[in-house]
Amino acid sequence: MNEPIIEVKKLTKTYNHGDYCVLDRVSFTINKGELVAIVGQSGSGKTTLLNILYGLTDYDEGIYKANNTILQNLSIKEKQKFRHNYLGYVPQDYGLIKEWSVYDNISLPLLFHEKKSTKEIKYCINSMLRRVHLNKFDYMNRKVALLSGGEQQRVALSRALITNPQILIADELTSALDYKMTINIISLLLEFCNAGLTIIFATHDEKLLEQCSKIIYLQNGKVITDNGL
Amino acid sequence: MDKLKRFLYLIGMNFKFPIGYCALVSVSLVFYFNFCFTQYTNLKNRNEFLEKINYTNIYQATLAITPDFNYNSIIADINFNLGTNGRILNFDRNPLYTTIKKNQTIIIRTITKEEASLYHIFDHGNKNSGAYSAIVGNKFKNDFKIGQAYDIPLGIYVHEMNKQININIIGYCNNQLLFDPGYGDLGRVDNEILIYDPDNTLPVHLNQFNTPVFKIYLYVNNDREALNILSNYCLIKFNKIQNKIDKFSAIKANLLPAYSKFMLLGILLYLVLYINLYVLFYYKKKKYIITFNICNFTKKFYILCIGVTNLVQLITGFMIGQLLWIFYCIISRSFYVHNEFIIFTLLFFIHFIIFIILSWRYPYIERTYH
Repeated sequence: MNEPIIEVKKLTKTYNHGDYCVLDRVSFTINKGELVAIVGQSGSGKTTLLNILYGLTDYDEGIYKANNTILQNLSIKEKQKFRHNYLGYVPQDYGLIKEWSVYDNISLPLLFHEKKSTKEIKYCINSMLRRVHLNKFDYMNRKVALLSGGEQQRVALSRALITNPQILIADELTSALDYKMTINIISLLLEFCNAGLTIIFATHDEKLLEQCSKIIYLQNGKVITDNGL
Repeated sequence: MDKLKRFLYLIGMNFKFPIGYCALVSVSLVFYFNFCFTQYTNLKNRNEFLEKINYTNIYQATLAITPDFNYNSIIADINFNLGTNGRILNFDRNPLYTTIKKNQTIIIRTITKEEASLYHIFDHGNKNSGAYSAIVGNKFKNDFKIGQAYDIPLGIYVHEMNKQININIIGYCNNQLLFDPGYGDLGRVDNEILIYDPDNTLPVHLNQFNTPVFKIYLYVNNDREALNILSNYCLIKFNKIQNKIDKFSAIKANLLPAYSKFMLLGILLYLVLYINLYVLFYYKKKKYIITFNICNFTKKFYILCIGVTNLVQLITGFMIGQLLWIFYCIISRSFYVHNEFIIFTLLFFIHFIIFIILSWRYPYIERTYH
């Protein structure tokens, strides 16, 4: 399991033409199947780092390799293909379209890329919803706006995982959840980790940190400690 | 294609108003294109026709008549006397009027035995003794039933005040040209009831000078000679209709550039609106774009979306607009000019330009998350 899946070396990201440094020579390595937390105060660069890891934002200096591929060197098309095949992303606000149903939201990545039939897509979504424990009622056809925060979070998680990625990147995964729901999500994440998924997430939640195999502390754009527990 | 359809449906359902707005503009534009091209074609055909008949030699003569006047013998007589100096093209009796409909004066045209035989109408003569056989415009279908006789009042300029005549309906007519067969293009044809009057027994309509008149249209080679000859037939007025036609053509011709300008404005408006629809989408639904980005919305899929919506908008807009135009032509009883090909080609090019412009917007979407 000690195979590195993410390598970040001296990664620097600035805004305003170099005036504002968000990430300053950040370095760390993440192995396959690890549950990694990125911790830090607001404005410490957590979201920027996650966006870079998902390939949504470019960096100025350094090297970032995911699955031995330098994402920044890829063309847009290649980058999208890579993201679709290897990465899953849950943004801070879940990035769901609230007017649409659960089915429509989860099926979006499959619409754009895969050649699965509607029947196959339905089957995949159904089993994914079962994995995130959203199979009690007919969630598939419910509008996202009518779901609770926890349910929405699990829908976002399902959408990120529907393409069977190797790495899941999540921003503030449990920020809107109560204690019981947080425990549920943690056990869910551990379940996925045991199945070989690497999870990297930004959080303030100490309950989550206890379960992590690695915590990356960020302060003013710098990694203070990068320790395995 | 199923996925694309599903995706477009989802977007469309959350963006109904701008799409509806754009569709409305698209339909209006097709309608307006039809109007402009029809005007242009009509003017072109009319000018070609006038040039062909050498219209500068066409005159209109107004003759006074007596109640026992026989149109056909007079026309034959004039034609004989004119010889090589000219020839009667058509004649126009002063029509009668009826007020069967409130607030609306309806023109009654009369047709003689000879005229009727030319067009094979009223072949059976006046079936009911005492009633005149009549064909009424489709507009009066509800007021007059075929096979029934009706008393209709005649207008105020008729010799005998409050005169009523009995007409027997033998059919309906939708073709206005039937009422003005020879020279319909030069005058407006408003008459709605055609009455068969083989014996010239209908009351005579008077002009504003209290005189019954009729007008003849002639092709004249020698106007002095023609005037001399016509003077023997109670001539009231003899004038070249070239000025009247030229004036009318000039008005129409002056209007054409205005139509073209409006058409260009319409195209511009359409382009702006259509592109705005997408710009609106990007800004109003920026959250959608961010989500699409996270889900790796590809350029291929984006271009497919633009292409399909463009094509759907083009085809539905064209079909609805064209159907509305046909419907308008039926309602207004105007001639339908076939402009489909040119309008479709024009719209296709507009949509193609829109497609090219919008295809360039992809990098914007790609950068939305940054």
